[in-house]
Amino acid sequence: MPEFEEVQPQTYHQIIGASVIGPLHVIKDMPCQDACAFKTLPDGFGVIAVADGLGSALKSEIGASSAVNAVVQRVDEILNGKSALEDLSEVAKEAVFSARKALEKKSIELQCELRDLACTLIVIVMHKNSIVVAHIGDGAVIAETHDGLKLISAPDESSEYANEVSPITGKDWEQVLRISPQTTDVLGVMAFTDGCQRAALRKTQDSLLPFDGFCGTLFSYMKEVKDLKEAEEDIKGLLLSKKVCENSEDDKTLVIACFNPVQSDVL
Amino acid sequence: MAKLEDLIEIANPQQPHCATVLLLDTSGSMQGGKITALTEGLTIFKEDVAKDELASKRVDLSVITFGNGVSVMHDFSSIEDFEPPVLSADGYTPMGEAILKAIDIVEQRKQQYRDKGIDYYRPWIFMITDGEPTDMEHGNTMWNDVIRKVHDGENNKKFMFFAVAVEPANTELLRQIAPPNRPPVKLKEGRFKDLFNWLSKSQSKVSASKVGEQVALENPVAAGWGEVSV
Repeated sequence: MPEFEEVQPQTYHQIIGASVIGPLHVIKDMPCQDACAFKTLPDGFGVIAVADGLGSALKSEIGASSAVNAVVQRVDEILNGKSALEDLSEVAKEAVFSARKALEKKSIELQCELRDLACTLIVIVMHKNSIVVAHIGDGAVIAETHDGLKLISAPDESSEYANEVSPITGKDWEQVLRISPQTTDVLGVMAFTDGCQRAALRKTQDSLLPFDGFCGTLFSYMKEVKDLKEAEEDIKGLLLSKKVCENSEDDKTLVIACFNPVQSDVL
Repeated sequence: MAKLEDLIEIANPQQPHCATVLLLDTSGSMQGGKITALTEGLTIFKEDVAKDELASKRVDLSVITFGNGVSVMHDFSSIEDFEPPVLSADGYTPMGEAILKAIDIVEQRKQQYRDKGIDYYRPWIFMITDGEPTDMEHGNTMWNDVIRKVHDGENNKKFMFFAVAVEPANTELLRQIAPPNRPPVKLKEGRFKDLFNWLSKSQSKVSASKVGEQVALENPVAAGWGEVSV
């Protein structure tokens, strides 16, 4: 036996998530226009990206998947080999810029208009128990903290109608990009598209609040997860369930991360 | 472990609502087969909408009649709670007052939705008449008020106003009342059933759309109940 066991790098975050097609898209023979991508990175870093392709855009499912993949790839590149805490907001911002560039490139490749790839985008950059969110459009990010559930980034509700959002492909995308202040005591985080808003956010007269019956329950569930693949199937099942679908006919994406989970014996 | 579906709760379980007002002419001239067909039409509409899972949760129906006075025969309710009233025909045609009443209750209903945080579709005001207004005439104060409110409401997307002309309606006057972008449609003789089938189908389409989305409705002529625009 060696005197000292070699310490293997441990993953700081456990992340699961899924994008599923909504009943309305099935009826209309439309593809699932939501997409998500996420990755746990060494040294306590991690990234989550969620995008909702606009129903009115011709190839928005391609836009959404291109955007989330570009985000994860770029964050991975930036943080590769870094061990110290970077300025997370700069990383998040740079990730959104890379998504925009990827969409511009994709529109040239597909010989379509940039607006044909229109989508919303949520980027969460994590380092240990700190997160920063960069956000364009609707959907939301909720964190579990020592002080309870917090709405870290709210849907853009500048328009009266639920289905009008400013996408990342718009001319004013830099103006509509919101970067949240860094939150430092995070135990878990979830991001979702507008298809889950009715389930996860409580509407009061003048504000939106995280709903414990949905978000709190899922964070508790996440702490018990042992098999990530199985958990991902559970999330898919939930998003496709009657209970969730009868409240939103739209596509749905939900990504949940649990921070510093209890380490299992097998790494 | 229990299914996630059984563990979670939904924050805002309400469905987006589509307020619909059926504005029905029950004046004396509707007596006989027409008023019977209209009454039957309400039952057909309820049965059709109830078969559509989404529409049955989203359509919020009210019935206003105008004949012997203007009466809210049925306040807004879900299709499940909708009890089709038995209509009887009598009296004059206070169409102007009835239209203003419909616009009022639609606005009140939208305010109730907003207060409760319920999303909603653009409401429908669906008028069926075989006559002409007896409580207003071209150019008088009430006429101007009605025309302005119907046309402004339509232009400002506050509601959609539909007019169906049953023989022998004064189609020229109806054309002036209806919004210019949605002229009245003339009902083929006796085709009330087809009209209500179309109405329920259209409401199903709206219910399956996203709030704020434009919905293409089937042409009433193709649907078998409408004659070429009057």
